[in-house]
Amino acid sequence: MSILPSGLRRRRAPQPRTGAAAVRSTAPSLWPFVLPALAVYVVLYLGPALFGVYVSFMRWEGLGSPMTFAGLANYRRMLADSGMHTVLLNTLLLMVVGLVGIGIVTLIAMLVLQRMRGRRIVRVVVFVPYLISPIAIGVAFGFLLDPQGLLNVSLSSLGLDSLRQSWLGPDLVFKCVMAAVTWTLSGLAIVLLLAVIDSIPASLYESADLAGATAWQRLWYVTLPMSRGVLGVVVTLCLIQLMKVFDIVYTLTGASGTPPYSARTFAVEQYVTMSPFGGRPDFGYGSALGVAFVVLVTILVVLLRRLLRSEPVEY
Amino acid sequence: MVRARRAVGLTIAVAAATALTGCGAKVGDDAQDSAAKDQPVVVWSSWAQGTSQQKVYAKAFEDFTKDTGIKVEALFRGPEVWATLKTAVPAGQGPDVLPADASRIGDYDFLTDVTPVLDAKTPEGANVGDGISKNLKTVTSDPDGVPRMIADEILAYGIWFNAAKNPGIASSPPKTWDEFVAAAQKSKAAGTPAISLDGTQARQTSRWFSWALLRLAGAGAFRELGADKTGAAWDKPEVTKAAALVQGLVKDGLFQPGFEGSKSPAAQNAWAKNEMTFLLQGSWVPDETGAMQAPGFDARYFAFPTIEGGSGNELVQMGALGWSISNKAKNTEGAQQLLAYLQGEKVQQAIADEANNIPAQSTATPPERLADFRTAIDEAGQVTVTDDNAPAVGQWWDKVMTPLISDLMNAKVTPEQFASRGKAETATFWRNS
Repeated sequence: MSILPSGLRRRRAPQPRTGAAAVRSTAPSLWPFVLPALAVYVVLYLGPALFGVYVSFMRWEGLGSPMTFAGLANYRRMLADSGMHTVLLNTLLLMVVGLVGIGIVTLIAMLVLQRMRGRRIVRVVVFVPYLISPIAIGVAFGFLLDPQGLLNVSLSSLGLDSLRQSWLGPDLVFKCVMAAVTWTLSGLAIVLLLAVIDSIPASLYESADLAGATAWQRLWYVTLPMSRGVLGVVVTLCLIQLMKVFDIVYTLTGASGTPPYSARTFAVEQYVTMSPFGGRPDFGYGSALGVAFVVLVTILVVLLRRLLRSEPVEY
Repeated sequence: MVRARRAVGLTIAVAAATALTGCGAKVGDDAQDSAAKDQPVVVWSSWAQGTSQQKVYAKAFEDFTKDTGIKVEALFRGPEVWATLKTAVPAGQGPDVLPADASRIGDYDFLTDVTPVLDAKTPEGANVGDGISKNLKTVTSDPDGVPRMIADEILAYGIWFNAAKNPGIASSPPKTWDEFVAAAQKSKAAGTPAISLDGTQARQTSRWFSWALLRLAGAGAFRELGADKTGAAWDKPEVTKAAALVQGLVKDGLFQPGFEGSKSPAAQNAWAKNEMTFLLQGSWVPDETGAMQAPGFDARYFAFPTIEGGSGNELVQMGALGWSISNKAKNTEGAQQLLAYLQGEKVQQAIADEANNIPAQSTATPPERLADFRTAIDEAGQVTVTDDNAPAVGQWWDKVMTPLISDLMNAKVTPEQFASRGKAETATFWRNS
């Protein structure tokens, strides 16, 4: 079923000249403008990034210590490290569960808010967790989830002692991290998608209503197709944020030591390797972790972008 | 003639060396090389603004400048300074005087030999080294016996309890493991969870196992688990026995319910409110929990219980905090004078009276409730640095020991599996490192 009026069907817009051809045609006049930005990019981003790749093939304890060639040893160690398997699994789990969780929360929000009065206020409220420092969120969740914290105390006061848990213990701590991160990022997804919904012409919803569409059908046949481009951006942003989760883990598990493996993400493992609580830093292995992380993120983002690719809709 | 020249040369060399090291000189002597006054002594501290120690040192630095004319530029950076030091000092951007912790000496290869400070005089004219005990000198030196830090305060460990609420324990503290378990069982039966533990803090959690192992196998046994790259150290029967003893406490429910998810310092604070009876912690606990303590709370401690047949029953675990001098210091002489000054009676007594800690100098009187610690440390036949310095063994501590301890304390492995996994994972860790 398609409820889009025929005049609003997707059609290809004329493609402007892009890429190498465009650059070649205006190259002489472009370079003076491009060079300063390019220089800054090379010095501040590309240079350090390439240095990181170089260090990943070295043994190095940081500035002032000798750097020796290690070949692929750091990468081999990563594959053999059983702790690293837990870290990778945690990161992928956080990504999948986080995206699904954010998706469900956002979907419900879109269903409820798409035609609700006062949704601007709601939008501000749900965005607040994203504005709060992740450190503060981690600390707050830590207080909430401590064995003597608010959650267990509330359960006891309701006579639900059997539901009291050691929330920050090794069995549950990562589930709590996932819940905290999902709660934080859902606001971002909801706000971005609601902004797109606001820009969808009301006539489309009116047409849908005339066609007898239910709320779910309006969402599926009008809202989602019209916001697919932004949806792709939101999913990509959330994916990157989920893979970079660091501060919430550190604060939730207590910064006066190192977070347990059961709660570690890729970013946490990299930090602990480069700034150990005891012992000496290992920048070679830490850089190898960083390189592997970038490769993993790139693959996932490219796959997601392909999955969510859509033609522009004109109306 | 040649002999005469040699004699003159030798005399000049000795005089120069004496002046440079400040050897035998009293702090503030005019004879000191004025080079020390040409530029300030830059100090980074691990004490954060507002802490008792920060106030003591801020005042001491001011007094030092008044007494000697040497300026001090102090930055109280808090605990984050430890991570910064590792990169700042080798890059030549660090301070002259660094914060020092006996358990971190092995982490840094940029600490100078502080023998000249030990040989220098305090403002009262006493020899700095004479006031520092042999055991304290041992833990503040590197494995080759070269002193790398001048301690200001000593940290010691014990099992703490509220003497006001537990007069029976105060009058007859448990001495052996069996006596301790009986006391813990009694507390639990009376309705008070026996042992307080913030289980998310790996170091505090591991301390129960490390203490038991050190009692059984003596100094160095815990560190050896990581330092022995073959993993063979895990084959010692004491490892399995220590793991079984500690896991027994877990299985008997002697730690507070939900200890595995307790975030530091929640359990410690709950202990101060009389919600648990025992707390294995350092000598700073009375000061740290002061604001949280229940009315009438009287924090006392007893030594970690001995274990029958153990070779480490005379052992004392201790820590030391103080100062080191960077090998890239721009004002080494000023730094040496400052460290000798901090060993003076005024500063040392302030560490006891205002910061409630055990001062390093034996002439200073420690807080009354901590006095036994210093006696125990001075008289101990065996001594080791906090946690046997195992956390400093490469990244083995984090990658191997921490997850294993967590599994042991959560009864996810048997003591035998703990030992066999420890052996295999240690060997694998070093093979891949």
